[in-house]
Amino acid sequence: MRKLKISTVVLYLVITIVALFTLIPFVVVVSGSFSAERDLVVYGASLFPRNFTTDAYRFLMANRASIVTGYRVTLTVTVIGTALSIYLTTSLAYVISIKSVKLRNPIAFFVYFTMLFNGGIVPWFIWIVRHLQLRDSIWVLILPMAMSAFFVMVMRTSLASLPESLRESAIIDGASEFKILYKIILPVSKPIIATITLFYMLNYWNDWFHALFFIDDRNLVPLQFNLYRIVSNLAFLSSSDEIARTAAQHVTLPTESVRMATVVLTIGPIVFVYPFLQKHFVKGITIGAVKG
Amino acid sequence: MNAISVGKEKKSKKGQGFWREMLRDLSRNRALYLLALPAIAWFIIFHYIPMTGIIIAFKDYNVIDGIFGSPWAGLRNFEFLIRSGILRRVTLNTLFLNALFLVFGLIAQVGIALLINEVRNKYFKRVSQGVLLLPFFISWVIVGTISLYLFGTNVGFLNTVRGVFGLDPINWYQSPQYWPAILTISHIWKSIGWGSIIYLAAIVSVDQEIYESAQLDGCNKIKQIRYITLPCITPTISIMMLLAIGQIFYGNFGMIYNMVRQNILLFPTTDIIDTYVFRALRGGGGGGQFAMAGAAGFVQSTMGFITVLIANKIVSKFNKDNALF
Repeated sequence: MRKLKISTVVLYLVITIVALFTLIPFVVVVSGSFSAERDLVVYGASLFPRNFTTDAYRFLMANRASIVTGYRVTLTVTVIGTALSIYLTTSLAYVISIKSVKLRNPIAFFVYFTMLFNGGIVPWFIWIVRHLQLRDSIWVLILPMAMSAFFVMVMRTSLASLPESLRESAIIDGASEFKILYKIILPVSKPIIATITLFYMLNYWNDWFHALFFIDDRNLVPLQFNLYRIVSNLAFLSSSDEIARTAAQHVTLPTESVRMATVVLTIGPIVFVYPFLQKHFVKGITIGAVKG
Repeated sequence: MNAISVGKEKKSKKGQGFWREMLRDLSRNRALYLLALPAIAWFIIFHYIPMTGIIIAFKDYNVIDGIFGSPWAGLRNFEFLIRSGILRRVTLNTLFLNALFLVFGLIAQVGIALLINEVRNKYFKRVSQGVLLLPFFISWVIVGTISLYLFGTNVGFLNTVRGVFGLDPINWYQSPQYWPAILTISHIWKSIGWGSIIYLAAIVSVDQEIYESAQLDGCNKIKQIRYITLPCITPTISIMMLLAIGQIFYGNFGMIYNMVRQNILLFPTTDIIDTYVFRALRGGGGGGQFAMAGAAGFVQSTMGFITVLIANKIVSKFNKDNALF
């Protein structure tokens, strides 16, 4: 009996240590954002601020243009993008989930094949810049990532499991396909749609990749890419190049604490909504990963 | 992975009957096909058209003539990549790092899932899972910024900790030998919650009666895990492994690019195909080498495609149910 107890203590201890290990980077960042710059330079990063101050946040409030732009762009992209993604994904998944559609398997393979093979970044980049002319347009942050083949497949499996009589009776009533999808099929598929919506939202919110490739216009810099740019200005310093470091001393650069405050503001919203949505995310991750 | 199981239907007999049937289907279901059209068009525009551009690898690309107008270059682009040793270096780095992520990621994820499964306190279970999942939600830009802060030479948290123990600070960003380990730990940090959820779901679905009868036979916890839990979740593990192996030629661009940046000192152990392609394409100074980037991308795409097919073949040989298609 005693042996069992020790193993239980060890169990909880190990998990707690792993969880702390996960949390420490976050704690250090938050601590850094509330630290006095001088302390960071002299003593280095720590778990708790030596002298608590909100200087970094006040500095950001005074110089808020890029953060405000970031939020504006990211929110726009996330809202419009998610709506578009859900529209495209559900309509395609619905069609290829219907048994009477003869081409449903060829279309499904057509979608699935894009997960197996792609032409690489280069032709994709040239196509979007040269032919679609989307560089420095808000649409380049939305359209290239509008659909995920994986979510189409997940959605299709879910819709295919609905009873066929649902659709058939609506057809007898004379409803159009569009109406059937939005008035009958989707309302009964709320859980899966909620999950997929969350993942699309997360994708748009966290996107910096497309901005890196296609955005030079300052007014179109999303939140994540804003952080990337701030760090880029400083990155060459960490390579400990002496010349670069002395050169940089004459340039005003965002300081450590301000960078950490920017990180906090960039993560911010996710951490706030996360506890309420944990359940959906957990479900979303399990979908399609475990054989039913 | 039933989500992406694409059904195989027996091909209808070709010939007139087939086409007539198709046409009838298209007209009968035209409202449905119309509904799917925008999404299908999206896949054509953003996947299939760019796919044809893969021939850039065999072209002497210039901006004026475009991909299809530029003259052919034969295998010259590849020759350069091989001769200069770039292809060898970035490919080996990609494979080596991905192998590290795969093995250690799996051990960490399955390990923590087994531990969490033993926890009886529901609240503790939920909170610890929530904490472990947190890094999953943040972008690599944020991870990169945080790592810069943790590994910084002067202000870095790790060197602060080393200082507490009386150790000299390490110049992390000048020491490529540490980076495979740093990147592996970062990978584990970011994926442990996500992976453990998947394996936990598999563990929970194991029939509880097996455990009960094992207990009656005097099996202890370790033996139960070894002989019941692990064999029962092997299908899930093999699927996850298969997915990862299929992607082994695709490096984690977001991770490397944000954590290493353009730090040449670290390239010997961290430069992967994806970062090389990006630099050749867009990097400052040496950017604009479209054909070279395209050739490296071609190698990645074809090798990746072959790998995923082979991996799937192997799995389907052992167990048909676990294959992807």
